[in-house]
Parts: sequence; structure tokens; C-alpha cells
Amino acid sequence: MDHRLIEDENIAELYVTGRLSPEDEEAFESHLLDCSECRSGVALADDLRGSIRTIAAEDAARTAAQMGVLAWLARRTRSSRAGLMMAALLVVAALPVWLQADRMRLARELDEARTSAERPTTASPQAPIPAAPSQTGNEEMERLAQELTQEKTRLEEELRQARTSETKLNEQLAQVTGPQVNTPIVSLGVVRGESDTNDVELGPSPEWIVLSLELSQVEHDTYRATLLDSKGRTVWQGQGLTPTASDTLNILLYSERLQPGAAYRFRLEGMEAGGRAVPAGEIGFRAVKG
Amino acid sequence: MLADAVPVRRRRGVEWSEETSPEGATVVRLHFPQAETPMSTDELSPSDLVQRIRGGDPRAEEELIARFGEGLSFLLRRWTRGHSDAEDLYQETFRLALEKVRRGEVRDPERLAGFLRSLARNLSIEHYRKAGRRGAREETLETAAELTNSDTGQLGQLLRKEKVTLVRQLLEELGSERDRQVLYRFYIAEEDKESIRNDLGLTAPEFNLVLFRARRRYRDLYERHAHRGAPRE
Repeated sequence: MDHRLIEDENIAELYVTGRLSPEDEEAFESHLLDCSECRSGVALADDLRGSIRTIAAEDAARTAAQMGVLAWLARRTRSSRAGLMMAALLVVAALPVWLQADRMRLARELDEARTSAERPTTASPQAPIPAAPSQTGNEEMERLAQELTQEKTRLEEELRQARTSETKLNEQLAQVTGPQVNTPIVSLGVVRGESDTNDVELGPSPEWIVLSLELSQVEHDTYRATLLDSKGRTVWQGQGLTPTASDTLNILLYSERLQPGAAYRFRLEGMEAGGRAVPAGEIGFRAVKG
Repeated sequence: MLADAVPVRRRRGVEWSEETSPEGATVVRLHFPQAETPMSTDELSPSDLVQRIRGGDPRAEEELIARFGEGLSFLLRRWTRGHSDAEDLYQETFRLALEKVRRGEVRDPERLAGFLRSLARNLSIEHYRKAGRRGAREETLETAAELTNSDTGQLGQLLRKEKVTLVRQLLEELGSERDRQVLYRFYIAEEDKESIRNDLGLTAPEFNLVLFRARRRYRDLYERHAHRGAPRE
């Protein structure tokens, strides 16, 4: 293979990005066997490719963290978190490229429209251009300018919303990760009659509540607790709960999960060896506004 | 099983050791090159090389290994992503290549490099097929596009970090946002060259120049950095 061609056509770059045809790839690899200069070129192209990808991923991760996406991801299960993180990284990495490309496309169209609008003034007097195309060109230019302005306004609005959302998420994150004081502890026991109810009083602002579920009898090492709403839908489920010395299961719950005035119940199940769940009672309660 | 190996011998960039098998036969074991080996200055043409090997000239066999050894290990490392199998494949390729050359089975001696490349490639594919590791390995052989993964361990990670820093500097130095877009879209989005060019309003030479300049600038930065005392990979 000709070195000049390899340099001019960036064959090493095409090779490391898998853009060569099978025939060209074979020819280039045969050349690589006998050419240390081209091997060095491939190594450099590999470095560039790997490093640019790393930089994009690092920048994307930083942006994602700044936007509070990580706080949201942290609440997901481990398996879905990995997938979402990858998707978020790809989206964040690709977005600026796409936006820039789109912006440049619009700018190019605008330039073309301008050129077309200016053409009548530079045209030869022997071949006068009718007025209509000029008018069309101007209209096109105005339309594109308008589109660009609208796009800019839309992006600015999106940015403003993202910043507001980021501030809110950061505040929430600081609140939930900071030390908790005056945490209400609510003891919930088995309800024995219609008139007997457990009430969980919700504060004026979201807060952590410790729900202490009384076990009628401790027969298992670990328990599973499922929080169900009045329609039997699962609000939350936790496994591996171990009883305390006072035969209770303690759950720290963020009050936003409960709707004031709504009825809930905890379904408790003891976990046996082999993973089988055995019913261990139900505890109902009502969330009331404090 | 082989008996104790004699010390490693080296001549004209080729390292080997001679071992004695339990049957008493002498086994020559070529050593996989770890760094760039110097090229021979008095190179024969590929067909001369083939002719002399067929004539039983042992120096021509050494010449073959000296000339193509580093390139072959480079390709095998890429195809296997730096896996230790590359060393076995290296040995096997040269063993088979020398047998075929001696028997006159090279159809086009001028295309000796292509012959070696095809042999290595086929052996690599066959190796992974036999080992029953088709999935990931064959995919690697098919694409052959990923960086040879020598960036493992603490030193490797440090080198990789340094390279990323240099490329970051390179991207910051780029004169125009358009050039940055070319690199991002070429290396990350892996878009078609023509569509990048059309979107950014670049001619083919302009596009190639952006890639060429980026590589040249990265090489300058890297060499300057290496010259200051950083270890070269």
C-alpha cells in the first residue's frame, strides 16, 4: 500500500473504527506486518479513539451528576440502574453532537437562503432574475431566522427547567442524606376490631418516619414486609427484615410515599429456609394529616 | 513435556531458545517479541526470501521472523485483545509458515505478508472455534476494531489517564468547534464519513486534514510528554 495514500486518506483511523471494507482491511493488515510506521499510526489512532470516548463518557457522567440524575438512579434497582446509567450516558454524550449538527444544518440553510436572496443584485443585466425568487429567498431566510429564534427560546426554556429541577433535586438530596433529628417513631400493632385503628400522622412537610411493626410471635429469622394500598397495590416491599429484641420490625419510610387520608396495610411473611414465604400477619393503618 | 530450556539466544532481533524433548529431538522455541525489534537493514525482496528459505538457508528463516515478527504480534494482540493466546498463535503461525514455505506452498511469493496475515487470521479463528469460545472471541476477530487492551494494571491505568489528559489538551487546542465535532462524530458516534462531511459542509480533503492534524498533534504532544520522562507504553 502507498504510504501517501494511507496518510492522505487516514487509513489508520478508518481501520481502528472498522470503516474499511474487508478487502481494504486485509490489504492494510498485510501492510502493517511489514511497516512499523503504520503500526505506530494505528496505535496513535487507537489512543485517540479510546481517549475521546473516555472524555465524552467522563463529561457525560459529570453532566448527569450535576443534573441530579444520579440521585434518581440511586433509587432504582441495581440491574435497571446499570442500564439506565448507560442510556443516560449515551443520551448526554450524543445530545450536544446532535444539537450542534442540527444548529449547523440550520445555519447552512440560512446561508443558502441568504445567497439565494442576494443573487439578483449580482446577476448579469443580460439575464435578469425575476423578482419572485428574490422574494421567496427573503421569505425563506426570515422563516429560517424565525425557526432559529424559536429553537433558541425552546432550548433556553429547557435549560431553565433543567436548572430548576436540579436545584430541587439537590435540595432533596441534601435533606435525605443529612443527619435526621426528631424522627417520629410510630408503633403499629395488629388491629383486633373495626373501631381499633392505627393512625400514622403525617407532618406538614415530607419527613422520615420510623414504623415499628409489632410481631405477635417471632418464629423466623427474617421477614418480608409488603406495604399495600387500599386497592391491594404494592407500594413498597422489603426483604431480609430481622426482628428487634422487642419483637418488632422497624422500617424507615419517607412520608411522601403515603397519601393523607388513605388506608394501608403491611403484609408480613416469615422467610423459611429455601426461600419459602409463610404468612405472619397483617397490620393495617391509616395515614392522617397532622 | 519438554526438558529444561537452555538460555535464551538472540540474533538480529530474533530471540529463541532450544529445548530437548523427551524423545531427544531438539525443539526451537521462538520468543514472542515484547518491544519493537530492529528491522534488518539488508532486506531481501519477499520472493528472494521465499526462494532462500526453500533452498534451506537458516538465515533467511531468521530474516522472515525478524521482518514480520513484530507486525504479526501486533495484529495477533489486536485480534485477541491482548490475550495470552496471542503468543501461542504467534508460534504456530511461524511454525506453519516455515513448513509451507519450505515445501513450496506459497503461491505468490511477492505477497508473502498477505500469506502470513491470512495464515495467522485463519489459525486465530480456528483456535477459538476449537476452544469452544466462539461468542466473544470470534466477534473480536470479526471486528478487530478495539484497542489492544494492554492498559491493565496500575501502570496501564496511569498511562491511559495520561493519554486522556493529552487528548483533552488536544481538544481544547483545536481552533474551531467544527473540528471538535468532526472528531466526536467520527470516533464516538461513528457516523458515516460522508454524512459528517455533508452536515459540516466539508470537502473530502478538508475532512481528512482535520483527522490528520489531530493525529499529528496528538503524536507531538505524546512525544513531548514521553520525552519529559513519562514511560512509553
